[in-house]
Amino acid sequence: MSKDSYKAIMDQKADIMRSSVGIDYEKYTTGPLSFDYEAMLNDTGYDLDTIRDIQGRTAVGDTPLVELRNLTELVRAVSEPGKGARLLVKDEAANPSGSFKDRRASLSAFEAKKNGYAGIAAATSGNYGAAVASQAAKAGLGCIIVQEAFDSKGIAQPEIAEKTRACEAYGAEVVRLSVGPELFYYFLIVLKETGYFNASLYTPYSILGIETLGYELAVQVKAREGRFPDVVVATHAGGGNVTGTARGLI
Amino acid sequence: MTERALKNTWVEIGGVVLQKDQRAPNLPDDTKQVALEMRVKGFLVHDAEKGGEADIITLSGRTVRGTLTEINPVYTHMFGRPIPELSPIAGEIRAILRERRNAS
Repeated sequence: MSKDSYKAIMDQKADIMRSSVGIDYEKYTTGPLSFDYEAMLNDTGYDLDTIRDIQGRTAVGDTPLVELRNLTELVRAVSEPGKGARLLVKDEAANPSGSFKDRRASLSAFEAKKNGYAGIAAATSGNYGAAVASQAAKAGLGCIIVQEAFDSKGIAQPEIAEKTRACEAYGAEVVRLSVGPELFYYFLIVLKETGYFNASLYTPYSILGIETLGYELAVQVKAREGRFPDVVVATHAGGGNVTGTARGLI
Repeated sequence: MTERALKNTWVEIGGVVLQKDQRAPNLPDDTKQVALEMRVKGFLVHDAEKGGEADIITLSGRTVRGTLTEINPVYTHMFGRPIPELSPIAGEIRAILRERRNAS
């Protein structure tokens, strides 16, 4: 389907990434193993208030803080006396596309629009695709989601199939691929062909977008209980949720 | 009889992106045995037959060529059967809470 060999495209990776994100990562490399992360985030020019404002325009964030009374009681039923914390949860499903990934996609969409990109693209098989597609629709941007979607018999995992449906409902093109690491190869072809903004989960925009989650959490607990939370528990996969939430808390 | 779709119909096309000998190095053995395939949906640029070659315009406006796999494709995914091991959990949890609340 494409004349570009795997190697030919992968050799252009650095150039394609630079033009699709607008960040020269080499600028922040300070040694063989060190990287000036703080400078990279600062150079984006987005502070917390600006991010809150951008997210508020598309109803992202300010999700409810909900007390889990039954779960707290269940934990206490099996804990030693005096243990078993009161559990409060940020209901991130209340974001427009149904997950905290809206926070991550919102800044990328804003940045893409600001810099005149025609659209945004992401390689994702999960909630992030729906978030990017939703944000693209709100910003009037084109959108392409590349999914690792099915096995060699054409069978798709239902969770991924549901994200295909959601993205298409938001008006995004969904390219579904069979299993393999060449997802990234095809994603680079798409970026090269369309000149779209790369809404990767690993850009500073995606991390900065989560800082509002940590901030809201601290403010909401303080307003409700008169004190900040003792402990915040966050899930960790690629590290973005933990990094962003922690940065927002401090 | 082959199914035929008219121009502008919403369809899915598919095709091989990389043949098995063109794929990335260092793949697991079973992945090495198969080609990298893709499927994408869009509106037909011309009348086409299922199984035949077709050009589509995708939702992002790209023109993509492939083999016509589905005409107005159905979303077939579902929740499946309840998991028997999980079914009794709600009752067990409610019993624990009831006991605890009665005791206090």
